[in-house]
Amino acid sequence: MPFPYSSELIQIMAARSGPAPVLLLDVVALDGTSYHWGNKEIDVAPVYPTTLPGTPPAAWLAGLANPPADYDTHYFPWLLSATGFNQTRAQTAVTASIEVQNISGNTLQRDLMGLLSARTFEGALFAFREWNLAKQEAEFEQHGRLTVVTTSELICTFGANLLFNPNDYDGQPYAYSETCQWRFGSRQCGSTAANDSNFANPCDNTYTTCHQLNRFGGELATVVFPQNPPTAQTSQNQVQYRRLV
Amino acid sequence: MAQTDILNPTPTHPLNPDYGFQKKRPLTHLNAKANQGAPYFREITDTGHQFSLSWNDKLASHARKLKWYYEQYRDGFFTLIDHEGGGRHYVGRFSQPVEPSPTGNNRWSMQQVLFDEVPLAPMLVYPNDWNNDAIWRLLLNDFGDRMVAAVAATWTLTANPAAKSGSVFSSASVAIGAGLLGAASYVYAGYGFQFWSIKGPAAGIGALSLDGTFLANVDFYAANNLLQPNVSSMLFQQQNVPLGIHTVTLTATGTKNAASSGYAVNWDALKVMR
Repeated sequence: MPFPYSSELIQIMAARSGPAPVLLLDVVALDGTSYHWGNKEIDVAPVYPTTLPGTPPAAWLAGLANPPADYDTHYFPWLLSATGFNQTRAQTAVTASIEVQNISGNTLQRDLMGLLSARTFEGALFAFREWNLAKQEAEFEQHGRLTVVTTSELICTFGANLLFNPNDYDGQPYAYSETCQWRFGSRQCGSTAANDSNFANPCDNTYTTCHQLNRFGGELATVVFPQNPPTAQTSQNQVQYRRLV
Repeated sequence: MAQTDILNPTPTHPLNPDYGFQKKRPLTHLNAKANQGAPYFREITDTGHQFSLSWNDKLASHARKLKWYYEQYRDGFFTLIDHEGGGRHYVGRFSQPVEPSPTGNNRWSMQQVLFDEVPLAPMLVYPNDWNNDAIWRLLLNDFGDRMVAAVAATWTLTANPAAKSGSVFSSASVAIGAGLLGAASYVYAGYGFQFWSIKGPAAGIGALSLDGTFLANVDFYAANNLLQPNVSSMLFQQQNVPLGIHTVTLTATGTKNAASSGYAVNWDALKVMR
């Protein structure tokens, strides 16, 4: 879907000179605490409306040397880079990379490291914007969920998964099972055996009792447990399966 | 401490760097140009000036003091005065350790010590040589692209030979409460700025703000003078601004001088201290 640029923004962006947009990142951790980071320190409300407002941890705010007057209108200059945001029509899972400084804080625990250890940032909702300073409008906006990739004493790198990530979804709209889930005699089942005196008994949803093997609605699984199972590159996303057996 | 601590307060101070030091502004922008066509430019950082300073044949006490300046301010900033350049102040710090080497009995030399300006740091004296150090940031750049963005309501670009830019950008004439009031913004990299524009008999009062903070109201009204037509003039100056990337916004207030017949406000140009 194209970005709904205003005609004014298009004109300003197309100019042959001017300032580069600033990068703004809003994050809401899973406990509801919110964070606002940019590659420029910003302390004014109407020019940079926060996309994901919320309440920061009170204990963390109390430790700031110069706490902002209004937390939700203040962007700390923590965002070092944000790269790899791709938009594609294909159902490809693209992970962007966001780097945030991890220098500030005390010698035992950095500011960001303290937040990471006390809050859950894995799966935190984020809104990333490239903000045109002159027009005061977003040139690019992406929402998604964060995953913590690496943390060093200088930088924390987040992976940024887009909200539309096919890896997160169970593509099978029905429950996985070795037994068929169709109702006997239904359209999906296709069996007309109920009307046939020779096969008047309904199946028991197993393959061996199926009357319409070409429509069997279960998974034919042969389970083999190898002695030394190899380590495979498998998805780490958790999917809740329901077994019918 | 900080900006109030001056390394070389007078032209004859012993910690003045040797004559002929290098002062430059590191690259703060991206430039891209196709094989054929005008280049494109984007300002990306607010990095300031950089000095490469040397001190030769200084006493050990001077060398110790310079080392102290590095240690004291490597995580802060102090003031360096460019006495050769007219006494302009710079706030920054030595970005590399000061390493004296002996050149004689009680004589020490410090070569090519880098001093980097620190953005957004307050200054004891902000740069004020508007004739030599400030540059014009016009409504239209040299390629004819409009650089001032209409943030609210509709603005009109009108050719005007009396303007610095050759054109003025005007808000609609809307009284307060009668509709959406116009606002327009410009972004620059530098210190303070001067706002230049053209007054007129049908112009209103506008509010100037810097980075979202209100600065002053500007009355754009002036009666028509047939003998001396209105030309662009400086309507407001904000000198005490630290180095950074700043946004100037002009907002129509929907109010006017009692003698004026309209409410429009006009943008012509900024003069920006660099």
